Amino acid sequence: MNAIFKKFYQILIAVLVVLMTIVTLTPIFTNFSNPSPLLTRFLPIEQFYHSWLNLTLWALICLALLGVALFGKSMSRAKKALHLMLALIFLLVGYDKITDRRTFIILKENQVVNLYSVKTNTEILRLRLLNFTILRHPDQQQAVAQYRSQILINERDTVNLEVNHPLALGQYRFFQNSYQEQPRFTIVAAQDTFHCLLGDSVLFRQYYLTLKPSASNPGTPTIWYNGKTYQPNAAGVITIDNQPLFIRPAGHGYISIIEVARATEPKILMIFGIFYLICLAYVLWWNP
Amino acid sequence: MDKNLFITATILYGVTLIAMVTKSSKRFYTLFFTAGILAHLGGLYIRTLSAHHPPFTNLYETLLLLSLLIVIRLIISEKNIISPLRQLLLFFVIIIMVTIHLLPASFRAVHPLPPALNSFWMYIHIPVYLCGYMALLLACFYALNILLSARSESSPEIVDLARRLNREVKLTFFLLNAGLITGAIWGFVSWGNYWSWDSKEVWALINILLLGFYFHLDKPRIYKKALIIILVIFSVVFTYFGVNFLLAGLHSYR
Repeated sequence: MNAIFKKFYQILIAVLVVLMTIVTLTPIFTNFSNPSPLLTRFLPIEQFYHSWLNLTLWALICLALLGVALFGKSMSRAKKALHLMLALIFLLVGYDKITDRRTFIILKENQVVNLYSVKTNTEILRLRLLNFTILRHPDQQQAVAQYRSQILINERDTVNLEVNHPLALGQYRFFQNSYQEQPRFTIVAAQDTFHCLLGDSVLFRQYYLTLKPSASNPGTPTIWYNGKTYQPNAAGVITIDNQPLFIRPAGHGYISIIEVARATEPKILMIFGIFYLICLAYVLWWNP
Repeated sequence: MDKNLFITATILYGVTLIAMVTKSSKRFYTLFFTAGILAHLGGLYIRTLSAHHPPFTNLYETLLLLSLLIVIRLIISEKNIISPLRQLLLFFVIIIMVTIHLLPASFRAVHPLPPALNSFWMYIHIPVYLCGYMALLLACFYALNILLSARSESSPEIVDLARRLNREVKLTFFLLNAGLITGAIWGFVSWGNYWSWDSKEVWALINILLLGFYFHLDKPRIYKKALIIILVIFSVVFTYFGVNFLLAGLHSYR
């Protein structure tokens, strides 16, 4: 029985290693904008990791590990425990990948983002970015040391979110993923003043006015309004329906990109991992 | 300043090697060896102070640390490592140090610590992997010794080499597994993802799966085991260098 599991392991792992090697090396030799018919037709290399083939191979590996743990003959308990822990780790990570319960949220200063549950169709959380701060290394070319989002949750609680310091709220975890720096502009109309970042849309009269990047002049946005495109003149003025609008650069603003995951508690993987390493150490050195 | 100390360390290691090869007195080459290690440690200490972070955030720093780990292992396990291998390892350390000095200035420049690396997991994940690579290097030398010697498997020399190879491979396997698990936990803390099929992660897994063959052979003949270790070292070299330079991903820290 052990010989069967061993052979099963050897074949599975050999296939998996060859496939993973091909998948990781393919970008070096392939132009994905014009892939060869062989690649796209017979082997979905670009999507291998999410394909049925990869899932099946890993499922078979987990089955083999569980089989060894449960039915392995003349095998010490420590070795069985080792294979069982490894199977549990693969199953835990596999479950996390399959359910893939994560999404990205883009927060701009003083804008509100509401998170809704698809199941219950109710609002779960309301997030407002109060302030985005970049902390820089004092003497190392002003490089970014850390960035922090100050978030107001449900218009009540204020929290700080930093890289490597996730925030746990109920069954959700929030991670400071990255940020973008965008030029900020002030748009002054007769009775309205808007402060917005490049890419924002603001309601002006009965239509939305959108700031888009200009290919010809990166410092000045192109305005899109009611199906028409407007390019500010040298003075930064556009005229919409005989109404002049003055567009002035106003420094920079930040967009905070936050990842939200409804993921398995990491303490479970830590416990499985520690047990696995203990079993491994025992099998390798005390009970070979 | 740190660069001068590393150059000094390299020269002292070279003198030590020459003294070892010419069978000078042990006191003589121990003196130069110790001075070399102190210079090496001093260089890393100064680098840490100037960078405001420990020296394992890019290729240059990890190579320096790897060479130091090999040297420390030579001291700790002096009696357990056969003499020709000690000289070969020291020669390899000198090659690494010379290569480091020939890297472009952009590789050797001090870079501030990016936010994603600002975590205590960095102090566990990276050193564990470097210790694993150090043990694998010793295993590779034993494996090469086995493959290049034309002796029978039952000869005392091969049996002794097999025992030493086995010891290093066990250490390597344990450390690579520990590195992968700590990496998965750190990945979750940083990005909410235990496993993101990043190129470095995939190749780290390939290394462990290949090394697993060592423990799962039908007929565990020593030459087969030695060949597996050679295959693993190629895989690890690609993981260490190839992934950084040829593939894009979260671990592309040059």
